Amino acid sequence: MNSTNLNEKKVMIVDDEPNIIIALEFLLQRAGFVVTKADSGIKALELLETEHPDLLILDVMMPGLTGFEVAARLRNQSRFEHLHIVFLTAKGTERDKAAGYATGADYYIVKPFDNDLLVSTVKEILTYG
Amino acid sequence: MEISTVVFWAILYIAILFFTAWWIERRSGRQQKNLVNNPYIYSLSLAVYCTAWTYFGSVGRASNTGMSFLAVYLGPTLMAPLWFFILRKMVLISKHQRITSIADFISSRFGKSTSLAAIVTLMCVAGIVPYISIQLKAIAFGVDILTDKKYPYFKSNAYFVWDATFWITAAMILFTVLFGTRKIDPNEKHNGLVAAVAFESLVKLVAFWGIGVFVVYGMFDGPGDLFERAAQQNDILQLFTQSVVKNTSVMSWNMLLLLSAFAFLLLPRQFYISVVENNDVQHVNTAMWLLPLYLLLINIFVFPIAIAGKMHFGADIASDSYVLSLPMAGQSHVISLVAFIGGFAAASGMIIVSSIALSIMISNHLIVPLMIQAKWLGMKPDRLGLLLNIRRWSIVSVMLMAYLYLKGVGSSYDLVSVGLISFTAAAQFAPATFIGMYWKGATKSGAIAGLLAGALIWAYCLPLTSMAEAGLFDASFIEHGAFGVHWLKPRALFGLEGMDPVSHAAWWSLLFNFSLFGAVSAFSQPSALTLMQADLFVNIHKYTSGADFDPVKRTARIDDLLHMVRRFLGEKRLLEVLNLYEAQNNKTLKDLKIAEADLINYLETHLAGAIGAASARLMTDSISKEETLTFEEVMLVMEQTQEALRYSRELELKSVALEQVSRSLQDANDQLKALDRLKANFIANVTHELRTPVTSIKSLSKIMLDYRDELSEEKMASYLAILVSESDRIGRLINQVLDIEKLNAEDNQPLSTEPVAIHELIEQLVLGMEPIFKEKNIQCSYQNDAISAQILGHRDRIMQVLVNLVSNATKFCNPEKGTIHIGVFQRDTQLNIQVVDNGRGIPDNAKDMIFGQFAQLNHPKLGKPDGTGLGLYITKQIIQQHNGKITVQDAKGGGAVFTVELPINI
Amino acid sequence: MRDQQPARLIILFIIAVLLFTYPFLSIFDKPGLTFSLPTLYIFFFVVWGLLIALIYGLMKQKK
Repeated sequence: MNSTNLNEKKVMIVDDEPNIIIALEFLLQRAGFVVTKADSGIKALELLETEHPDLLILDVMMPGLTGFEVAARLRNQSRFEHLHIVFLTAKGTERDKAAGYATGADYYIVKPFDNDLLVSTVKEILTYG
Repeated sequence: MEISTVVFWAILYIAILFFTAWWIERRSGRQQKNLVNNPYIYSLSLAVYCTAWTYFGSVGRASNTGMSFLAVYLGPTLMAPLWFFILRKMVLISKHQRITSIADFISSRFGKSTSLAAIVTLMCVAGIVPYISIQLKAIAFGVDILTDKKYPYFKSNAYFVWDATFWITAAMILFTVLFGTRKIDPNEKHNGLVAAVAFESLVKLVAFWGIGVFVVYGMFDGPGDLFERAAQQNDILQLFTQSVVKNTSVMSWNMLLLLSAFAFLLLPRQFYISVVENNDVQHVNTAMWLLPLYLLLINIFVFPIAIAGKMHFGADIASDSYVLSLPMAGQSHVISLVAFIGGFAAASGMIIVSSIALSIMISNHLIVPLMIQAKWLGMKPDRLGLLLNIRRWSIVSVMLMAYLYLKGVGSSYDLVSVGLISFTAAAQFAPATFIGMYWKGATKSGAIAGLLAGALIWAYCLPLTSMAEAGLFDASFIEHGAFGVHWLKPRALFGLEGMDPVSHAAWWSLLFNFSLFGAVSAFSQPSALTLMQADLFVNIHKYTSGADFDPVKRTARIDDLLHMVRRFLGEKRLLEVLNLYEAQNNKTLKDLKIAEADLINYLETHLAGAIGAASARLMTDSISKEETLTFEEVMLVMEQTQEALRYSRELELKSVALEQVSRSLQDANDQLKALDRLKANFIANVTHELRTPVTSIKSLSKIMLDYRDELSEEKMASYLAILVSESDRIGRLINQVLDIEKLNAEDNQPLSTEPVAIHELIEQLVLGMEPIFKEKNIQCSYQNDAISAQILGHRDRIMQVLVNLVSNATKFCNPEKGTIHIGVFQRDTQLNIQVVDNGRGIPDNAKDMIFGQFAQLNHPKLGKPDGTGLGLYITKQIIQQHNGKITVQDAKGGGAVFTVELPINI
Repeated sequence: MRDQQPARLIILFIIAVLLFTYPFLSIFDKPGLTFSLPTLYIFFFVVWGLLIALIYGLMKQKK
């Protein structure tokens, strides 16, 4: 795969903080991804019926469904087998990280994040699987 | 009178005494009717209380200080009605425990303590030996007077064969050893000895009456003549009272009554005769009136003889000798000899019984325990002979001590003072003995503390001081106090003056003795054995009526046990004792291998009769296995008494109380744990809430920094606006976290409050928020039905509550056509403040949650409100601080109603 | 009937103590003669004798 392919890749951002979505949207669009947004876990699951993103950036602490719950539901369904999941959360302890990976996440990034690192991580995952 | 006449009659009297004792012993040896086992002999033998002090000393004292001598005989008389309780109880206890002496009695009561027995024994030796020596002196003194001092048989500088007192001592030793150590167990009764003592009491009474009648009717014309003539002389008339020494006499009289009442039961010889040699507890009932009668009879002529002597001799001769000198002056040899024999009887009775009582104590409480501890008793089969020999040598040493004391010190003071010193010593046993018989709480530590304190003060104020006064050593401490400390003056201890030396010493020693005994007992714990002995002493009736129990679980090999008892009691006595046991318990011991507790206890009591309770305990312990007494077992043992019931009830209460304490501790611990979890949660939440705005700020500012050339002016401005609002959010969060910390810190202290007029606050608030209402196009109405109502509270906090509620309402009311209504009204004693908005309202399942930390409701379309999630939590905390409550309901036609209830300040 | 003997003995004890101690004793504690005998001497022996008689009476009553 080369970098041009990445332009067709879709990323969905799930976060209840609008300001963080604004920042993420800017960064990912600028890196050439197609971006969809959801401000809650439930909304994300709804959108996933129609949209088919390659990667999900998931906040954990959200009202309604938490990020962990969303991930667990997705991992139960074979159609989301190839969906990559990256947690982006303020919960930064080792235990939280372990719990995150246990639900089948590809990566776990702690807030506040480094813009460049986040973008390169997304790129790497989408490039190498 | 010739010396040969005196010696002849003295020897004849001693011979009669020996014969009496021998005859009685032979009768009881042949199982004939025991003549001694009757209440009259018992009462007469109790009169061993009357010694040479009574016989010679009382007359001397009466001729100097009037009738104060009578206190010594009235004391026991006054106490006599109480013998029905006290003396009978002492007898019952002693029979049950086979007690051999006053030391044994006290030691038994306090857990068969070896140390207590030794202390009491040493005190008795120190108090009684001088008293014995003065009796020896009295006899020699009598010989001197009868022989007109032609040849001074009593010589202070001659020893042994050249000295009359030595021969008297020797005769006393011989008699005492012969009749006082026939049996190892004093409980087996020395009938011959008791008979001899009773006989001596009869002799001294008859002799004294002989002298009395001779003097009053022979030398004067009856008492009327005597006293009327005496009343002519003013100095003699003064003696017709008790209070010759005006300033001290009242206290001395009372103290003397008390001392003699105690001493009559506690002096070693009195305890020996009245308790140990008692054949039947019912004999006490007779002694209660017969002994006082004896005391009355023997005293009736004391005063007339004293007055007659005073009139006849003036101050010419020592008043102690009137009893002998008057008949001599009256030219009657017969009466003089009768007087001498009476005095001899009085002195010798005391010497014999005292030295037996002392020798039992010395051998049982000093020598045998030492031998047991040093393992000198060895394993030889027969120790009966050894024990008897120890007893015999103890008698010899007591008498020799008395003899040597007489030669060294004794000639310097009179009969009555020495007697009083020993009375005061004996009175020290009163707290431990009497209170120990009725108060179970008395402990060994208490008894030891009391006795040691009493003994110390007694020794310092009486014998030591008397010896110093007699010139035995430096007497400067009497004037100046020991070590020059003035309040240690032995005649004015701690500054107490104006009492005679005996009353003074008795007062202080008994005061400290009683107080320490009680106080230390109250603050110390008795051992299990002491507790059991205490129960036995206090509730002796329970034990004598057959409801016996095994106080201690002990087992021993029967061979060991019998072997040991055989060594001290002898084969014959052991067989008797065992037969008795088999008969009483319907058991056969033949095939028994292991002895159970009841047999061990039974044999221990018989062994105690021979060697004292403490020593018997040591011996049986050495061969038996004792199961450690558990607390439950002690309780079981004590259950038979009311006391135990009370104890167990108290314990039950205590354990319930303990359970409650541990439960409340558990609760407190749980609460602390919960608080700790809450705190950790709170911090995690705060961190999360802080990270969120920081994330936006960091990411967006980096975007602006990195791509400032690409970004439009418009975008830039909107990002900067986000940075400002997120910074505000951090600032708010920090303030509110600080608020919460402050509220938590204040939780434990009362709030500083003032009357607050809600009306004023709301007006101020509405005015302040006017611009915001305008900006958001919100209609705000305010109605107050209780304008004058005030609440007691913290002004700024209440304001904070109102601000929170109203600004929440502005956030959540209808975004297009917002209305807010603030209403205030009074209900009972509560002031209600309502804030009503027309927003979406709050779902029922979230109504409780919104007052928690970081609880925020997301708007389905507008998403997260711009709050910290701590506002309502803080509001609720403040309201609770003010003893109010806050609730939320749905408003009519949608929206939410927050209602705050606060108590009105009246 | 209740056994009154212990109570009677205790009361006797208390009365006897009161009679033979001060201040009561001071009434008779004066030099002087009554029936040709010293007043205090008479008091002591008469009351003493009465006391003995009372104890005797109480103890005999039981039997």
